[in-house]
Amino acid sequence: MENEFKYYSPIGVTIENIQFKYDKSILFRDFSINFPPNINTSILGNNGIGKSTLIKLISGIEKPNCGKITDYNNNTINDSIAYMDQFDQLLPWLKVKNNIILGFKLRQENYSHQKFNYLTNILGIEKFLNNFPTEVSGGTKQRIALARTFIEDKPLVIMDEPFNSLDTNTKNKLIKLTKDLVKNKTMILVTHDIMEAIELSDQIVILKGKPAQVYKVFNSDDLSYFKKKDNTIIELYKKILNILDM
Amino acid sequence: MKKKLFKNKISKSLFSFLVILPTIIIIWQLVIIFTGVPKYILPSPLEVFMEIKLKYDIIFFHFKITLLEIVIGIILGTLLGTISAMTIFLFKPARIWLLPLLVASQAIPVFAIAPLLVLWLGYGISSKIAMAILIIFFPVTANFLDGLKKTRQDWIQLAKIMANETKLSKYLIFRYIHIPAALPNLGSGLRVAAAVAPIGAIVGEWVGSGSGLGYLMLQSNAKFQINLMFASLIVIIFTSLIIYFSIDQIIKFLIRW
Repeated sequence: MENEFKYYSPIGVTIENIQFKYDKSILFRDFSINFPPNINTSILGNNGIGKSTLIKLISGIEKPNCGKITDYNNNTINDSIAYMDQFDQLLPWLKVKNNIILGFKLRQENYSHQKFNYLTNILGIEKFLNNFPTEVSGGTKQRIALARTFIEDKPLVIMDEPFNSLDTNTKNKLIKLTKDLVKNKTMILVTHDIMEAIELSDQIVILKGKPAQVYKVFNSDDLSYFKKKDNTIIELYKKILNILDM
Repeated sequence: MKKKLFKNKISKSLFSFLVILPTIIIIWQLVIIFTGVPKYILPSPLEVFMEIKLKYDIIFFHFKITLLEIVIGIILGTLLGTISAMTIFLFKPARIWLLPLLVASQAIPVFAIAPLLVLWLGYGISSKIAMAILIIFFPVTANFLDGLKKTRQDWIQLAKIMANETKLSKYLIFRYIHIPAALPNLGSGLRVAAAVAPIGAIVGEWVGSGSGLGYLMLQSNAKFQINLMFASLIVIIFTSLIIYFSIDQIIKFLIRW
């Protein structure tokens, strides 16, 4: 289904020479990277490398000690972000419907009922709208979190291992839905799942080292080459795995 | 059917209460039988029950006053406690000045200031309400403040991203995230308040009043009407239990997370 919400032009993200310390250990030093507009990027790396910290820095949850994070026009990106964490972060005192439109309540804005109906429909959560989050399954919670992320209709979608705790079947369904929903947006995804990264991304960035640096980038051309055939996808999978194991 | 009934928490509480109550009455009666304690020291449960039945009008009159003092005390104490907790949480100067004052207020025994309150506010219900407020103010404030402080950081971070950091965002995040997240803690504070508020009211009545169950207890004690004194005590206990369980059930119904 075509994602019909295009109220903005996609934005890219530029990270320039940032430094970030956490508990005396330097996670990033002189770290720079670009996330081009309308491109879905997955960030891969071993545990503790700083993947989640990086997207927290982009989201503004954490502030870099120095350096800057802006869009391609040197503007702040804080108002352009829709964020989804690995945990659903649904508020237990709000019904599902109110959880989905939480952002609008916090900004005191009206939400689009058309968009709300579209999202709840394609994510299959219409029948849970009057339930509390504690009354639905883990998979449904992630669907609700997805609806909350995409009803925001922001040009930049940041996701931190969003499908981490799901079974393979639910995960595959949600990956397909996410693929539709991020059309015409810029997505930055942190994941441990190489196949999820290949499936969802136009670009894969692998972080390595301490402080973390960009070790390898598989850009759109690389990925479209590998994605042509099943056996080349496995080849790509092995390549990434080897890099991570090194 | 039985399983369904027991799944209901109200039924469970009621069931345990219905087991405990006769047990206490039996033990009470056995103590009288086996120790031979005189009636003017410990009357039997039946005598106390008969006294309640006989002097129902007098007891009910005083019960209404004590209940009013407790209920108003809980309402105002909760209101003041929540406002204080929110003020301390939101404004740094309030944290510096109010918090030590709050802790210090707990160092003064309620019994010690009861005569002062009677002196300042008179023999009416105001001084008893003030006592109840004083005694419940701290648990409500401390619990609610704790809940506000311990709001999950990931909820706040998400809300900050969504709120776009507008001028109002701090207030809106407080309203939509902090307050509801802290409500279970406020519920704990209210449970404590419900349990201790009758103490405040009764102490106030002991120190100086012309009505209320505490007053009735003192008067009957002075007139050697031991049955009436025990009857008043039993009514106080039941009033406290009903208030506690009512508040507990309301909290469970309203705060389900």
